[in-house]
Amino acid sequence: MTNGTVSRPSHSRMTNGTVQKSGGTTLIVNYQDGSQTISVPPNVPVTEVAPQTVTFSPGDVVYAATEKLPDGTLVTDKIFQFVPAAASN
Amino acid sequence: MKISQTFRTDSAPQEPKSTLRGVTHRLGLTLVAFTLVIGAAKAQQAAPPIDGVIGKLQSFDGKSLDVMTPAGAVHVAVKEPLTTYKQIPSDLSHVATAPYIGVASTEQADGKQVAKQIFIFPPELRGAAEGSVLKTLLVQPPTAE
Repeated sequence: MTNGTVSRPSHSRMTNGTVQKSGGTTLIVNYQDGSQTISVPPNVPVTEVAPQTVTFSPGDVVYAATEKLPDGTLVTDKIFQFVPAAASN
Repeated sequence: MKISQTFRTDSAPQEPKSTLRGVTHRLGLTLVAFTLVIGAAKAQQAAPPIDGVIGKLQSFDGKSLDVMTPAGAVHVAVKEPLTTYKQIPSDLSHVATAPYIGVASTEQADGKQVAKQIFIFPPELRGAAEGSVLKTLLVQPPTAE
């Protein structure tokens, strides 16, 4: 049993959506229930999520697009291996 | 903008009573048509979310995978043909025309977001992890203990 305050999980945010406006140093990203305005430093790393041969290892952060079959089984035919900018090797 | 078009037929002159019903009916159909068009345009603007799981991979044997998500371990079967994705270098000039993007940002004290990484997703992943959430998983800073 551990009681205590939950440390704030860093001031980090992930926003996925469509580009509403990309003007110079500001980006507006649209999603179903709103939008987020994000300022963009000129040197920000940009990567494209592209179909590639991937070697998966336990511990990788992955995103799998899933579909639920009538019997409740989850199936995927698209898996994205996520590499954070800081952890590139 | 588009709404004003919807009301354009409203200004039609008064018809005799016998045809009024027909006009009302047609007006109704017009409204429905415009609503459908506006609905379609809106759907294109914000991608409909697609289902998915995000987490740390526990195992992958080509036929299925186990992913540890914040809600617990999830078992997912692989459906062939499987497409796997990883990141390749790109640049800011491709962001404006991207079909779908993901932005990792740092939230400043005043609530302002500053991008620290941008992902450009292919069209088939439009709607993946749609929305804006405080990150507790994807880019976890090393625990300072």
